[in-house]
Parts: sequence; structure tokens; C-alpha cells
Amino acid sequence: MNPETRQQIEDFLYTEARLLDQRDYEQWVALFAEDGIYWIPAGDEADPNESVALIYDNKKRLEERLIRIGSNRFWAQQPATQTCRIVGNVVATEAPGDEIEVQSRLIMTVLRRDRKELLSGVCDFRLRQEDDRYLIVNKTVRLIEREQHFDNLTFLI
Amino acid sequence: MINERYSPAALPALVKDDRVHRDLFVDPQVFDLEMANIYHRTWVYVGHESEIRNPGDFKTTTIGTEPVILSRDTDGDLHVMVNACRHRGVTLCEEAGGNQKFFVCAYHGWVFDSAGSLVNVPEVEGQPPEFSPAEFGLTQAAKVDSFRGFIFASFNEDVPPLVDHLGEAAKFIAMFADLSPSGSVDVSSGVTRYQYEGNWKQQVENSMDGYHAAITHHSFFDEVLQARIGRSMASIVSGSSPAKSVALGNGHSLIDFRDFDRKAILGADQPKSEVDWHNGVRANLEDHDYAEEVIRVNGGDGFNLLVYPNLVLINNQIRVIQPVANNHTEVLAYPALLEQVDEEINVARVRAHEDFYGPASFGAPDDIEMFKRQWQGLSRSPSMQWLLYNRGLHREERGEGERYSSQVTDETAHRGIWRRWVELMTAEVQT
Ligand code: FES
Ligand SMILES: [Fe+2]
Repeated sequence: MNPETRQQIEDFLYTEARLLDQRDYEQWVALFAEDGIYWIPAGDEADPNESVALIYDNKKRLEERLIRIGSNRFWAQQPATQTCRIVGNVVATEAPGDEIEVQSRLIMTVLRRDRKELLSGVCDFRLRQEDDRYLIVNKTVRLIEREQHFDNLTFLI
Repeated sequence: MINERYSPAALPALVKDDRVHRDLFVDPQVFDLEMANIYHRTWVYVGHESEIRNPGDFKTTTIGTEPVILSRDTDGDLHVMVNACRHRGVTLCEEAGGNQKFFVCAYHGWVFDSAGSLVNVPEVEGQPPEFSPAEFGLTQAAKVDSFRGFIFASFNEDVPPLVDHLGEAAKFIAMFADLSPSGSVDVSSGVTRYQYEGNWKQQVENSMDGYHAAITHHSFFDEVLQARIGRSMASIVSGSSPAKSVALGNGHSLIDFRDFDRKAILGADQPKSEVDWHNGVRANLEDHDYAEEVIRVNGGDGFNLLVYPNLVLINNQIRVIQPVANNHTEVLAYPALLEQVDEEINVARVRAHEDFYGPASFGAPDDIEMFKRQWQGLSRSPSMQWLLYNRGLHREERGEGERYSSQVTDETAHRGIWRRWVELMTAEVQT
């Protein structure tokens, strides 16, 4: 992979992370391809059809999340969760069909009311290049905390 | 010293017909009494048969705050054993589940078999001659029994038989299982877990609360569903809904949506997989009217069932409530899969679970937020003395025995739960 492409991919990941931290969810959902999938497994599973996930969203359901986020009665986000994330250890490889596989590590501080937590994990992206920009075909976040009891995961990771 | 207000003679004064004192939620001493008088006295749900199908299978869970191992021994019999080595109390099993013939303590190496018997003590010649390994098997629940795949245990030797304890709740557990053409559900798709700062009774009550849904879940029932299916579903839990709040006796209760005609609203189109599934249910059940009733319930909005104190069946979900401390509760939510149906039916059930019940879903997080806010309000405000449970007192109807029924936005189920709470908390203490 040439250094320029690699730089573009890193920039894309940083932008994606920034949109989430800024809670600019509309822009963030727009990064997903029409057939995009956003998956946060609840265990070690490989097949989302056989195992319940924390999140397994297609684009339609991601757009439904925007309805909740826009609602003035989305109680679990009143007050909103603050996040600050660091993305690193980026490894990108070319995949068939003009797609790129990218793996990164994520560490994020999560703050809501007076409760602060740390979430960490591995993010696997499949990106597709379309009209000079990247679209997310798949984003899978394997949290090291995935088998913990969460009290609120209604912010996005 | 136990506060005199919580003695069997005084306690009923804190639970009136229409209100309950805040201390029953916020005082840690009440929590300790509940663990002894409720969780160690009645039947408690510990797991599903599909989690431990084979000899040697086990899972770890809790009865109240007490960690236990649910084990199927090599003869196929079920045991519920305290997860603490009889030598010096070290946790015996750290795994969530698995299959093994023996549990070996990591500290000094005592070995227990899958039935809880002590079968090996290293350097046994150091034990005095009168030492009898038979006396040092794992402490076991006095009773273990299962009904339609749902396994319950009790530490109380004198507890009534499980079917008597379940009463009318048994009929609804059966309907939940009979939605599967095999007659039993399966929890193999795993679990989502959540926790909150608050008391276990908040989740119990919320599971039976028809009154909150239109408000707490407004962003889902009104806003998301408006976009998804073109209409709100809030009418199912409105004051004019035919749905009911029902106390079944023994604390078990029901939100009964069976008179609400979803098909009339959502349309009756059925994909082939669903037709096949329903025909499978019909083929499995001899009683035709019952089969049609089960199909009408359809894993959709048929009923929410509470099997007091810690099991809830809602739509596709098996919910297990685990008290940790008076101000800390964990909840496990398992999608209930069906057997002998097309794969797409179960995939849809898993996706429906993620839609409303997980910690990132469109439903449960708003409930959890209410538990936290309720806990803040109750625990910080001694002047907020009484919680009200008066809705429907003037219009509920008493049926046979301890059965009471009223409109879905009433608190009839809650009053039944509190009657049972008082009964258990004031009964003669068995030791
Ligand atoms: S504590 Fe288990 S063998 Fe000593
Ligand atoms: Fe709710």
C-alpha cells in the first residue's frame, strides 16, 4: 500500500473518531455505505446470526438511532455521555473488490454524570472507496469489556 | 442488631395497601434480610436446561448474593452447589460454564465431583482418623427442580413443590416454551448483561409496569416506531388498552397483552418461515384451542411474566435479576431461541432482542436510567418517605384465590408483589 493511501486511511479513522467524540452522529452515520454494518459483539463469536450482540446495526437501524438522538425524551442520553478516544496501531491491508481492511486499537474515556469509565478494544473496518472518499462497509468493535455488565452503552463506540 | 421496625410483627406497618416505605429499598439491613428470607426461602431461578444439556455440564450463577454452581452430574441429575471449597472457602470454580467431571480447588487441591461429593484430599493421612469426607461435600441447595426447561432451586428444605409454588405462572411458562415446535426454547445465542446503581426490586417492579412504557419509552414507541412501521404503539399501554396488570399469587405477576390485537394493527402477512413455524407448533400440541392461543401469543406482545423473585419472561427474552447489594443490581438477558424452525426466525429473535433489551438498545437503557434516577431520589431524600402503589385500587377485580386483575396502567401486579414480599419476610425463620 502506498504511503499516500495509508495516510488517507489514517485521516479517515481520525475523522471518524472525532465525529463520535463530538457527537456529530448524522455525519458519522453518513460514513456508512448503504449496505454497511456496525457490530459490537457481546462475546467471542464469529457469526452474528448465531449470537446476540451488544449492537448489530444495518444502515436503517443506524438511522433510527438518529431519531432517538434527536428526541428530547432520550432519557439515557440526558445528560449526554462525553467521550474522548485515542485511535492507534493502525494496520491496513488491501482486500478484494477495491476494498481495504483496517485494524486499529481504541482506548476511550467515557464520562456520564460523575461516573468515569475506560473502554478499550480492537476495531476492524472494511472500507470501500467510492467517488474519492471512503465508506464503511463494516465496523466491528471487539471490546475487552464485552462480557462485563454495562449500565449504558447508548453512546456509540 | 436488627432494627425492631423490620421484625415480623412490625414490618407490615411499612407496607400499606397503597404505599411502601422507602427504607425497604434503601436500608442495607433490609437487603440482608431479603437475602435470607426471600432468596434463601423460596424457589429461585438458576438456569435453563439448554445451558447444561449433557452430563458434566455446569454453569456458575448466584442465589441472591450467594455464588452457586448449577451442575448436571455424570448420572444426569441436577445439583446446585455453593461455589466455595469446604476446606477454607476458596471459590472453587471461576468459569462461567463448561463441562468437567471434577472441580479441583486451586488452594490445597481438594477435589469435588459433579455431584458435589468430596472425592480427594491431598496428603489425606494428615487428617485425623475421624475425618469423614462424606461430611465435607459441597453445600447444596435443598431442592432443585425444573419446569419446561426452567431450573429453580431452593435452600429451604420445607419449600412447597415447585409446581405448587408456580401456580398459574406455570401455564404462562408452558406457553412460552410451546412457542417452540419442540416444546422447549434454547438460550444458545448468549446473553447481554447490564447493571445499575439501585435496588433489585426496581427491576422487578419495572418488568411489571405497564404505566411507564408510553412515557419512559416515548422515543421508541412513538418516534422510532413512527418511522419504522408508520405508527406509534403507545396505545398498547394506554389507559384505554384492553391489556391488564395481573397479580397471580405468590408474587408472580403478568402484564397480559393477549386481548390486544396486534395483527389488526400490523397486518397479518406471514412469511413462509413463520407459517412453517406455526404449523410446527400445531403439530406438537394436541389441544387445538391451546395451540391457537400459543400462536396468537406469537412471541410478540403476548404477556410479560414475572416468576417471583428473579425471573422475567418478556416477548423473546429470558431476564434474570441478580441482587448484588442494596444499591447494586445485575441483570442478564437471554434471547429465547426456538427449536425446529427456519434459521431466519431465530435470527429475527436475536435482532429483536438487540432492538429493545440490550444495554445499547432502544428500550432497556431508558429503564436503567429511571432506576438510577429513582435511586438518586430515594437514597438521598429521607423526606421522600413513601412510594405510592395505589393505581387501580378502586377498580381491580379479585379472581380466585390471590388473583387480582386490572387495567394495564394500574399497579395491581405491584401490590401482589408486595403482598408476597411481606409474606416471605415475616414467615417463621427456618435455620
Ligand atoms: S481452600 Fe480449598 S483446598 Fe484448601
Ligand atoms: Fe421499560
